[in-house]
This record gives sequence, C-alpha cells and structure tokens, in this order.
Amino acid sequence: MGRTLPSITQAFIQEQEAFARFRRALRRADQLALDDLFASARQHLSATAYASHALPMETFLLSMLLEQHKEVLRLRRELDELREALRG
Amino acid sequence: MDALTLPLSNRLLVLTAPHAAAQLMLELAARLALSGELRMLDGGNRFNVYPVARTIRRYTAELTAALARIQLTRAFTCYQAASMLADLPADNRPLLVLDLLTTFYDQSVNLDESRRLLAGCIPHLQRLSAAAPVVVSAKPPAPLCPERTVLTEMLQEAASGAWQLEPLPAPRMPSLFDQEP
Repeated sequence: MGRTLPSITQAFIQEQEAFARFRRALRRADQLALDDLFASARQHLSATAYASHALPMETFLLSMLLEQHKEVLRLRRELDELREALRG
Repeated sequence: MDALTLPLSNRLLVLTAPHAAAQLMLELAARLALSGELRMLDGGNRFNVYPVARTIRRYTAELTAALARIQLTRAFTCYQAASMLADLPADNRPLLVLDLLTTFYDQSVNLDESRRLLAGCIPHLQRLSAAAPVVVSAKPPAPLCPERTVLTEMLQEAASGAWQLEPLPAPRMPSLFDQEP
C-alpha cells in the first residue's frame, strides 16, 4: 500500500532542496557554513521523526539551534578553563 | 478556472492534469480548512500533509485546529473508491477527490469492470455535489494504456465544469551566441 506520509529523511531532503537557490547565491565560505547547519539538523532526524511535527522545518531549525548552543556551551567551558589556568 | 476561487459553489468540478493537479488540490484543501470542515478522498495516495500544513501556517497560528478539520480517507483499489463514495452522506462539507482515476487505471481490473465501477461512482459524485462543492482531480492514463482515456472522458462529461491542464514546456536555456540563420 506504500507510505501515506513522506519519511523524515525525504522531508529533510525536500526542505534542503528548497534552499538550493539561496545556497547558490551565497559566497563559498557561507555555503560551507550553511551545509554545516543542515548537517547538524541531520544528526537529530530520529528525534524529529519521533516529534511528528506538522511543520518539520521548525524542528530542523531547532535542531540547528541545539547544535549551535552545544557549541557555545563547549566554547564557554573551554574559556573558563583557560581563565582558570591563567589565574593559577 | 474562476470556479475554483473561494467560496466554491455546489457543483461537480473536474480537473485533469499531470500528477492529478495534486499541488493545486492540496492548496485548495488548506484554504478550505481555514474556514471550515472538509472531506477528502485520496485515490492515488497523493495527500501530503506537509505542504498543507505550510499553507495553513501562512494564514493562521491555529495549525492543529485547521488540520483537524480535514477528514481524509484513502482508497487503494477502485472497489474501495466506489464503496467509499457510495457510503458518503450528502452534507454541506466540501468534498475534494484527489486522483480519483488512478485505481481505475489498474491493469489488473479489466476495462469493462473499471467503466462499470466509475459509472456507479458518477451518480454519487453528482448526489454529493447537490449539497456541497465537489472537486475531483484526475490524471490522464499512461501512454501504454490509451484505451483507458474513456474513463477520463466519462468523468469530464459528468461534470458541470471540467478543465484539462497541460504541463508547461521546459524553459529553453538561451545559448551564449545566437546562431545565424
């Protein structure tokens, strides 16, 4: 009988393709940064599928933010460690 | 195509187009769901909730409420499609039938049987269109079975408004240097 809803991977690919023209207009460095953002959203596809949101792009954007925030926390921790080391 | 502007009148409208005009039908479903309940019968497994949700979200934040107003049924054989149409009560909710003829083009059902079943469906579509707008979309048969075109014609003849949409020709890439004749 086939699927009645596109899989989350198909939805992700469709959303990514919808931004192809935007990506094409970016500078090379920005294209790579955009690819990194989509790669970070791809890491959470199973959670996105489980969320079953009617607008999956919102969950993809939240996944990107999540990875960005993890990166901020990691850098903040490293900065604190460096400060501690300098004081010591 | 003016008859497809909202609000729809109580008529039986038929759209014949490649991919059964699925994109247009989903857009129409989303617009109708903003204002009230509607019924959808999907004969070709073409209903995709994501574009519908995106369209609704452009107009309202109450996405879940609008989506809940769409009552969707799917038919995977022409017998199911015929039975579902026969069982639908006539009320004031619009009915969108998406890709009705796909199951009737099934080669494992012979043409006479498909014609008999479709001939049984048409009075039900007309009965339902007396109480509420009914929009039916269909795709033309595959080139390998041109004899099934008769089904498309039957549906178009029964409609009070019928359109056949043609695909746009692919854009031609201009050459760098125009060739001299």
